[in-house]
Amino acid sequence: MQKSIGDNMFVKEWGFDKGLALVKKAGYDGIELWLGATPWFQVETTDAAVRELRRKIDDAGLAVSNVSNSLDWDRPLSSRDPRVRAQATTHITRQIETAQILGTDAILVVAGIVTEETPYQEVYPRTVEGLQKLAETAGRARVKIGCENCCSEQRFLMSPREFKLFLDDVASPWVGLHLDVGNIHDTGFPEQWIEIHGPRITRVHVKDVMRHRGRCGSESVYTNLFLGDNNWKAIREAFHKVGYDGWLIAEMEARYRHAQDQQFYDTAAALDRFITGQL
Amino acid sequence: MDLSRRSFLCALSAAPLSRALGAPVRRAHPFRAACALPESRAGFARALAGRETPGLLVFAGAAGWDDGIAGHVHRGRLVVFESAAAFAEARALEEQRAGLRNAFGLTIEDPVALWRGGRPPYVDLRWPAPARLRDFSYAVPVHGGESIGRVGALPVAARQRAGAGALLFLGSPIGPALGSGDPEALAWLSSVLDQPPTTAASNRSAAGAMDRATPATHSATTMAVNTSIV
Repeated sequence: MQKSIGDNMFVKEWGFDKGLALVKKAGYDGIELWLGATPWFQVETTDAAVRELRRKIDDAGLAVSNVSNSLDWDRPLSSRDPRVRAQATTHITRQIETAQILGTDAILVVAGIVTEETPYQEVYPRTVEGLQKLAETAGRARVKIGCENCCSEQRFLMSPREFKLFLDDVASPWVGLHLDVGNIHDTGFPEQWIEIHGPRITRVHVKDVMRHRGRCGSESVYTNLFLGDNNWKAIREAFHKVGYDGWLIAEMEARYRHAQDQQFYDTAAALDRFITGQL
Repeated sequence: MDLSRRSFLCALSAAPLSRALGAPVRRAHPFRAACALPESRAGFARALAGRETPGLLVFAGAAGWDDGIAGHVHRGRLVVFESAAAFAEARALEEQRAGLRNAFGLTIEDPVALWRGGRPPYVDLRWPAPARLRDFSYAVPVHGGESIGRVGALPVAARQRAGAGALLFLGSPIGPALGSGDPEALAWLSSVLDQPPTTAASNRSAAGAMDRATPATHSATTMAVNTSIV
């Protein structure tokens, strides 16, 4: 397995170059780039500028683990408004294009968002249809679309079996699951998601979760690895069982208040312990 | 009927309107009202598939207006005009506003965002059968004719007769609910189809501007495919 961490974790003042140097120094193998989340990587960023990002990453001896986006929440593929859906298609298509430029074969999307206003029964077919169309583009680019399980936030596809049926309906080898082992909260167990989805897992986000504590205001249920309730031994064994040997991408929601670069080191060390089985 | 099932389905896949409709309709071609909500059109298509719908003309998710609509109504058709002005450019609303006012004496307001300031009620349709449908985020309020649907106190659906036919204006899209198989939406559409033309067209205009209805002729089965025109 390889370790990665997102550029959305960079402190604003660092910029890309300083953040990239920290990722390398902390011992990661790669970096996750977030389209729309940072000044250096927007939908409007030119191919040439994306190639320059790749050059810097290559020069640092790192790889791009995957391309995620922070735009789906405001411009979901499941919107009632066709114009918003078109925007979603545009930025996901751009993800696919930039993934090719950056030399990775996976992107992350938050594919459907259920709200009081946009009900589940509408979100499901719209999301399936939208992904089926995007799958054609992804297939041509040989880039896999990983739909993240943001179960609680999306209020969509809450169980692993439900997610499986959804992927069955999309019916494309280019659309799978970007599993976040911290997002399952108290609705299940990540090791069971891993066993059910196996080869459909495109990438994995890692963070820990305190399943006994609900979100309260801005207080997060997420925490650093090994501080929460995830059963990391069981998760590791499940990965071994299904043969997942790919990227583990740290996505820490709770940030250090002081010495913020330390979180990069601590998380890398925890990932090393997980990968080597020193649990 | 003029329209085979094959032609009907062909029309729904955005074939030119003249392929799907008979000669009288072809004269009205091209329709200028584009479709801003393809899923609404798909919902109507799903609900109407296999049904004989003589004299019915549906503009699903319309993002504009076509001057030929008045002629179809006057000749006896029941035209369901579902506005998607909230999902289109401002020009579409202005076209619909002018068309509805000039041809049917109906006044529409700017689309209202239903989800600002809390949870809105459902859309309550009350003609020809009561139905409570989920809103679709925006609604175009309408005044004039016979009010047949409201969101709370907001009138969002109206029936207006003209000549031998009638216009049903829907300011809140119901096609998506038809597409998702909402039982009340399907029952409501069935009740519209079950109306004899004379009933569908027989109401007195609130403005008194329209003629009294005369029986419509079931000359054609039609489904407007306004996506064929941009």
